[in-house]
Amino acid sequence: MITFDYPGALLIIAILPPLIFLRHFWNRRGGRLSFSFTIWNKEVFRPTIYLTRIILFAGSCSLWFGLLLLIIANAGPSLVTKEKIYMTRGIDIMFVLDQSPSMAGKDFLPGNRFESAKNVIASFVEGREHDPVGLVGFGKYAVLRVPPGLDYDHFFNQLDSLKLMELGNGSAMGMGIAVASLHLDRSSAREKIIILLTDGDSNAGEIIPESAAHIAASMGIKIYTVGLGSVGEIPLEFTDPETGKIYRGMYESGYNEAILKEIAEITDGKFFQALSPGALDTVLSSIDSIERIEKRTRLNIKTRPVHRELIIIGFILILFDFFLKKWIFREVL
Amino acid sequence: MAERPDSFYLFLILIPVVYISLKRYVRGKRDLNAIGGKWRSRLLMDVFFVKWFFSSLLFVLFSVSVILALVEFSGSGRKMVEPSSGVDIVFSVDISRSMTASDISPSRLQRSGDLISALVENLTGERFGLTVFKGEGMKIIPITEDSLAVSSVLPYLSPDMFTSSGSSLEAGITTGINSFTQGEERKRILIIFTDGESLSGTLFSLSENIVENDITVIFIGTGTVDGIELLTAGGAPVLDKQGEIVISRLNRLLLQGLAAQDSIYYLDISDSAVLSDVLEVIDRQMESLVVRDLRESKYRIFLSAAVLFIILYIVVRIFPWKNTF
Amino acid sequence: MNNIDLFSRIKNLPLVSSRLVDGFLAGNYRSLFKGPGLEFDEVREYSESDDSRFIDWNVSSRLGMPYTKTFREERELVLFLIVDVSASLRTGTGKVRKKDAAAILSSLLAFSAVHNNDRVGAVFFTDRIEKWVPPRKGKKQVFRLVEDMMDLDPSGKGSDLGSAIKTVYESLSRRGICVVISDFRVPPAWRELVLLGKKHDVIALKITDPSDFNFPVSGLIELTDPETGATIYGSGRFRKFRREYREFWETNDIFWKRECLRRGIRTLSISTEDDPVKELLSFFSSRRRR
Repeated sequence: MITFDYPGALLIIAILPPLIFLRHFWNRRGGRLSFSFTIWNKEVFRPTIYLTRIILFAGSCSLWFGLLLLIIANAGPSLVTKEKIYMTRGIDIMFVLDQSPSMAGKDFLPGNRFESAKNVIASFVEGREHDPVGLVGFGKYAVLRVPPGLDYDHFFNQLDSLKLMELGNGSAMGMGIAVASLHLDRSSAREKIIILLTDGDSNAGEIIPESAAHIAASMGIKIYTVGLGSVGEIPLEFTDPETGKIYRGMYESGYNEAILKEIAEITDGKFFQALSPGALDTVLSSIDSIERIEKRTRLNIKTRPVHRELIIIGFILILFDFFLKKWIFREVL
Repeated sequence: MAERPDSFYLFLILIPVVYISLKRYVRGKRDLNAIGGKWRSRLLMDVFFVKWFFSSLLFVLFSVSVILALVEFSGSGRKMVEPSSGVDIVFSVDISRSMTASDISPSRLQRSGDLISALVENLTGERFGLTVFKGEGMKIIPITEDSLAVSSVLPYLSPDMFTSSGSSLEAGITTGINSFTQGEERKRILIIFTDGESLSGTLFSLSENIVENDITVIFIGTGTVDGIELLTAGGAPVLDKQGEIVISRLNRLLLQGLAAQDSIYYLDISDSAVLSDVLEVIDRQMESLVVRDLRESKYRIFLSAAVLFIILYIVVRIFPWKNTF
Repeated sequence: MNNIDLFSRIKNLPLVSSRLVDGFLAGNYRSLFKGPGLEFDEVREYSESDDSRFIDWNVSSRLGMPYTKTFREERELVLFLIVDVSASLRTGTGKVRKKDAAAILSSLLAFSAVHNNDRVGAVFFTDRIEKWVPPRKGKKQVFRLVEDMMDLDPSGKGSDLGSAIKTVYESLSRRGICVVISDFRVPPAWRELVLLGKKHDVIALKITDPSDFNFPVSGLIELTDPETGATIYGSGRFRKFRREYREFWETNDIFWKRECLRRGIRTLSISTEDDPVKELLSFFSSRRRR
């Protein structure tokens, strides 16, 4: 958007139409020499110097356009950019996502549990505004993928690149919570939450989920636990990221509801279960609606003066006309 | 005070303008006599001289005014207070092969890592980001309060992080600038660790980009000017195409040249005070109330004059003086 | 050249014009006259004592006031000058304008007629009749004529030769010599010229200027036509422009000469640069020899 410091100066533009009329169309204008070249009422000598006339027309256009730019520049034009400034600190949200092979369970159609979890996380984050988000993945080990921050693009890229079984066969749920808590430690947010998405039991790692939950609770972190999938035998299909081999088979599914409930209770969070992609979506939107704080924002208006660019272009255009007519065409006046 | 003293060079344009104007007078007289006729020669010459004189004078005055407007003289100006709520610091580390040179022990890269972790330790509560660059740039840690994430990555900085040849400072700066997030009034500081060697990419739009985004840039020169031979992973010196041993040196002059601008600094990593120097620069940015001196350009006075002169220049031509010319 | 210069030059013309008499008005022209009788002489302004039968309605309507025909018995030769005073003659690249050249030529012709004791009259026209000078004798008449011509401030801008000739044709019944002095940048009035030629001896005298055919080599300049106000870019720098200019006017000139010849009208082109006396002398001497 463009604003003017002195919009009144734009009124000078009104002088242009009469000036253009006087310069090019007025019958009695000066700068012309009387010279007979017509046969009265019969014939007029019309030279066929079309190229010359086109070039001269271009020259005149550049003169007037240059003058217009200078007049606009004289009104003090600035480019205005508005930036939304958040006055309040958002909620820090860490996602802890199970990357164990069981997440390949095909009961979450059309893809699998892992894919729909990723999709739902992405749409959750998209719906947030100015809340730092982070990502921890866990399998046999737990690894920080994205530290909590506002760089959503980076978050999406990392989320997208997550693959099943990257972190080994296993489910170190406790480690996942611990890593997430550790990286939330330095956060200055008043509210910090962890959203844990898993479909299995904790079966790896040096820290058991309960003690990890106690650590989190002591840091003031709430944990929302989401149990994925139905109980029973489900088909399974995934590609080992290291060997590239495709595994297929049946799998006895079932998460440890008791542990998840306990974790939620310890940290003052909540446990949800999601039997289908649709249910998972609902679960995350309810977390979304619980974890909302009012945000105060204001608009920061930045102005960048652009008169200099306009003056330079205008000056070049006017000089172009001058040199074209006086130097190339050797105009008398 | 002239904000853009370079524009004074534009006065050179007046040479061709005046030359052409004078030539027009001589030729114009001749042409008018040839077409207008000798019988009214005196009248034509009088009118032509007056019109030529004023239009040339007005065009010269116009040019002078525009150039003076472009010089942007500024007055005393007003002070502006800018609120700020902390600093975002992005580290951009050169991980090209030459950064493994050990002219500063243990290696240029490791010393950079050490300095970064020292800074992160010293600046609790601020936000950090980490990017690395070779021929291209890559974001490792996005801006975060989680300083642990930054310091935990530092030991793994190496030329093998990704494959891309060359060392493009431009890529490093661009990736660094792009790491900053919108939405808060925080000071932005980009700290670039590089030896300035075998740089590719252009720095044409660098300074503009920095100014536009209101970013303070600190270049940290790693290495020594004397340099050292580069070693391959096996410990043998790297040879160039002619079979000469490649010596890697710190290109300090280039980096100091880049730091000629107000908001760009250059510091040497081998300097023992480098940590405190960097902290001092950051401290200065962190002062919550930054008073900025906004000098207002007086270009409008000259530009108004220029517009007036060019309009009069056109009017002089239009004016049908004595019904003659 | 200002009017004073022109006048002093014209004052000296009687001496030269006496030499013209032989060629111009003597000889075969005289023999063309018809026998004696009451002849329509001229038109003059109507006064109350005049017989209203003799009002010439055609002329009156064209001149805007009542004119009556007069008749006389003598048979004398009348030289009638049809002079173009349109704006296009107020140009020229030399020391004199076409208009000045026309004035000199007119007075030369007039003086020679007066020398021969013949009467001389004139009509000055633009796109209308600007001034009507009835034929009279005497030197005074010549000076009056020249003065009229120089002081005339034409109200019209164009040049309508046809209507001028028509007026002359209708108001001048006695046989005489009509000289059309113009730059002939006029719509061709062939019909009227032929009509006039049936009754009178007609000479078409074209005033030219070097710039009529050759545009001066020069820089760009906007040119405006004094008659129509049309504007073009004169770019004498370009050979193409100069060639087109020359072709246009040369074609025009050739066409004019050919068409005049076809209709038995003698043509004479005199440039502003030429010596008018010499040109006239050579023209008439060649005419007599024929």
